[in-house]
Amino acid sequence: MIYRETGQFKTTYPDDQAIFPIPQDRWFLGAGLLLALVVVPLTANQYWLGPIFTQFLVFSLAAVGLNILTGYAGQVSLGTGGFMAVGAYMCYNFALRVPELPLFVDFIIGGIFAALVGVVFGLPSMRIKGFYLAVATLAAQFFLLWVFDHVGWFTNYDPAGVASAPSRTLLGSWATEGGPLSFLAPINMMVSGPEATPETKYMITLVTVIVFAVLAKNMVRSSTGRAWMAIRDMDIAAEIIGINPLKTKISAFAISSFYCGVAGSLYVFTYVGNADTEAFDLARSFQILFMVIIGGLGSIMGSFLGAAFIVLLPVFLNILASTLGEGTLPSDTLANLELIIFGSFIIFFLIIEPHGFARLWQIGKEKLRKWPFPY
Amino acid sequence: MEQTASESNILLTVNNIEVIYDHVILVLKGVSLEVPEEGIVALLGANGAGKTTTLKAISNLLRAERGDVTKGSIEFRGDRVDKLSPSELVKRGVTQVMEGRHVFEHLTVQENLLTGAYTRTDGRNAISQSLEMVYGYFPRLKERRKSQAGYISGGEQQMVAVGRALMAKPSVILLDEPSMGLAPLLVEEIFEIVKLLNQKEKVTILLAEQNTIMALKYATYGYIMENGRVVMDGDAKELANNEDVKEFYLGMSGENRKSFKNVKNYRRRKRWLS
Amino acid sequence: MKTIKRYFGSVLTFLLLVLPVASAQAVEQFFPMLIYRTGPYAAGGSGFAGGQEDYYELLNTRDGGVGGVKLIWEECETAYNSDRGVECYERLKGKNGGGIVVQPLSTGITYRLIERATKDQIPIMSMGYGRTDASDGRVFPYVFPIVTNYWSQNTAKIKYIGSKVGGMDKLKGLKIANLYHESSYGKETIPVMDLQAKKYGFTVNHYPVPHPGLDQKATWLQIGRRFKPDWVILRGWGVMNPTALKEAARVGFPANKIVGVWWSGAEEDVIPAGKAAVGYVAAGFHPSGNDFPVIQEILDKVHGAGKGNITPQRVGTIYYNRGLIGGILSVEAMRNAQKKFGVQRVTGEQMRWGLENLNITEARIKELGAEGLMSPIKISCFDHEGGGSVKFQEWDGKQWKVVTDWIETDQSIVRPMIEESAAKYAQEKGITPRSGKDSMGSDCSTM
Repeated sequence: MIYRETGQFKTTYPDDQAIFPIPQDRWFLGAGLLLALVVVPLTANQYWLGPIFTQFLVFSLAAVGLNILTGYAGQVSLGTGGFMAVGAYMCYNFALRVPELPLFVDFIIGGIFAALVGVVFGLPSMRIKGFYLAVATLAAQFFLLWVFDHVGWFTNYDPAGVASAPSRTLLGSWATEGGPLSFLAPINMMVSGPEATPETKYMITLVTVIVFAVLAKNMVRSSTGRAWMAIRDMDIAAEIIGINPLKTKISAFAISSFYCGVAGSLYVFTYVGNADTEAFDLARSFQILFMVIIGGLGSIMGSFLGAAFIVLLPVFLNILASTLGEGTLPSDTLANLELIIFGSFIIFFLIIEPHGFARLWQIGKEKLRKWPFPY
Repeated sequence: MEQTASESNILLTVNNIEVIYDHVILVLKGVSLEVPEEGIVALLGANGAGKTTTLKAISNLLRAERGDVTKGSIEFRGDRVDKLSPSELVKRGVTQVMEGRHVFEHLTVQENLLTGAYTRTDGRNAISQSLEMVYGYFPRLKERRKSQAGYISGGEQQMVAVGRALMAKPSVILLDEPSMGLAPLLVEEIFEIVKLLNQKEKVTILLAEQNTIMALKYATYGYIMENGRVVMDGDAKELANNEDVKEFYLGMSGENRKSFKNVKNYRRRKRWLS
Repeated sequence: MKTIKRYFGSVLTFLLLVLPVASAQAVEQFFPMLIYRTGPYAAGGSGFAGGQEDYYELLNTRDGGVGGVKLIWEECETAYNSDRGVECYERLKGKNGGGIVVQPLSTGITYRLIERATKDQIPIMSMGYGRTDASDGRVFPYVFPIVTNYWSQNTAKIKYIGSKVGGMDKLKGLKIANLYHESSYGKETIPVMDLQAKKYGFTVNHYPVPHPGLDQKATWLQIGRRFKPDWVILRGWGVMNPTALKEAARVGFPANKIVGVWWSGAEEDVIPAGKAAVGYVAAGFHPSGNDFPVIQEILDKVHGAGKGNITPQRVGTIYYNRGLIGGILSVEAMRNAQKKFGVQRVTGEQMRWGLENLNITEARIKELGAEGLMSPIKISCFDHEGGGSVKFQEWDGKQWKVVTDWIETDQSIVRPMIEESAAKYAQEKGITPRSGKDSMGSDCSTM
């Protein structure tokens, strides 16, 4: 009933091809944005803002990035952690060594370096496909982390190899009081470091993620996105109609890595505050791959759902276990039980919908359209 | 139709089935048909009419494509078979030759044929006999038996597909679009062999085809589908002589082309079986 | 539709459950517990948590708490994962009136919490792990790598090797391999090893082992066949330790030439290695065993009453005793703060003072019933480490046997490095190191 489209007519092509052609979708999205932009920062406490929502957003962005590469362009990658690390460490170095730069520019720089590295490691995709490509990107993962572990410059020669985000403002040191751009000082808020409030960190992350998610959504609806999907579905047919596979695959690697790089920068600057290579290890690459698979390959929305599932569900299970399970079972058993339940959830959801949450959501919508009169 | 059916045993009955893909897309809207033993029944219609879906519903391959038979029943030799797994159906004697052949590219021709005997339990000798029988019908395959199936021609691949189905010693073969992408001469050759199989090996054939002329030439009975429904059925010869069928599927007509108005008129006239 | 309704329903109940509930303010003191009972490091995490919780439980049952304040705690499973650690810290820090000290039980998590805890004014007690240069309390007011830090411990290890080869001057020309867990924990001692190598004239090669450390074949082939060191220093953790010992035996490297860090020297680290571990030597700042009055009392009053937080068989193991010492130190700091500020409940800031002015003498240790379990410790603003010393223990196949006396660490090497590193951190972060007396009365003017 809620989802009845009867009576909605589109009179122009642009109308029909809008991102969200159905008003109900637009209302849902509007309500979601309102919730995220206004209600959450006003009501949530530090715990919910920081490790819950900000973490979710950071990994959503990385998942969107990987989904562009794996879900849309069909190139399997296990190097996500490595590409995130490139973004994180380059952003860290620019923020540390050039404090005049606005922090958001540092994020972009982190992303650009990640994109360049992504292009280099994407070149093998010309000759190798599928599992073999996954192994090749695995090399990227190990090589990149090895570099960050062994070249002291990247971590500013920290003995434990930890890059600790310096306190930086959104618009850079020139825009502070007494700087050449001091008129910007009132809106120049502290984004990273201990003085930055969780609200600011959350908002910066949120705005970044929204901007890049909208860009991604439009990208996959453009000719670039169609070229990616053509290569994914049948590379020979794509080549025959004039799609250049080199350019298409490389652009997918570049843009995907760019997203991962920005996500890595956000991880260091707005979420945790510091990072070592452990934070971007192979387990991270797999974690993000699972987000994409469980959320739904080839769906921007699915990336968010998948990230929510992988990041938030264990936390909720843990909270639930420690609230309800207190005194019922030994803590060891309870802790392992959580893992078992989490695993069962993954299997359960993949069985009821092998194509991920995005597909589940789509079928749900279709059913709602027919409801209450299904076939 | 009742008359034709009563003449011989009914092997396969499809009773008013409805198929929904993905829980939301209704594809078959109540299809009924009967296949008599040792007959060749043709299922005709344009693209998207529901021919392939009907065949897949019978051999229970829909689940893999997220489809589901929601209403109606399918009976084989009088038993309900709509809940059986595809492999169970093969054991009972229902084998499908899929559209587009689907040979195992990296296996040789002979290996491909032998995979067809996977469900048989009657021993190596019986299987090699069947193999010789298949080579007897398709002498060309014997020459090519050591070649990788991915590298033989389209017509030969179609022969491999039919031969592979035969290896299961089926009582009915569901043959989906055997003429697809083949030269007319080859099409004729394959249909001849199918006819021969039907006569000599007593294999019942349910054939989905777009090549109406060819199909009606070899079939004994025909069903015409449109939009997920059977709109017309009858003896193959009668159908071939039916004015409407001639007009719409065979492209032959004594008069000039009918106007668009009459096309709509035809749609109104079509018979609904269910 | 029904399932959707049910789904929303459960989400709602869920939110109601997890939203912080304002609890009645009894006189309680809250200790957040960041522990891990799953994953490859579960043995360490669960043993440590058991010892700590059992000690709190003992104080509650025996004395009714500390100075009339009941001790309460809540666990959060970090799985030794840094992201989860941050999440756990944020979840627990404000509960039940606020945590007063946090023991992250992981170097990685410690690093991630330094800035957060400093801002929240909750002291971090990283006992025998964590960020070494945080020993300089002038730059890191809220971080206490208490007892001994990694660098200090490493000097003790080199001293031990020196004593084995017949004097520090005999170290010249020796070859030492440093096999480390590839994490911030493992990497921590590389600079101090390099410095010592230069000072004493030995050669050191560093060999990283990626988490979790189950695959060391290639590394040990390199060590055993190519480098052929005289000694191996093992900075392992969890399953990496028994694996290393087994691989060493496979390439024929003698176990008694391997010196482990104290995170490689528990029963759980050697028993799985079987015979390969016999003769292996590991550092420790406390012995194992339950032959101490305080542990006997715990077995009697806590486990006897069925309130134990770990299976009784594991009481007295290395990790258990380490957790126990962690409990003792935090409670002593809390008593210190109670006395100084004349309050029952202390705040994080007061707790920091309590830790910074902690002075546990031999007499006090005897009072606590922990004689022989821990060495005296004295913390100051200048030195957040407390100058503990190290004993070495050898695994004889059944138990750990202490084979040396307390070995003093070499602060002449470590301290300048700490100060240099801390100063660099202060500069990077724009922190002015404390000097003179601060408002709470900590004295940072002299050593």
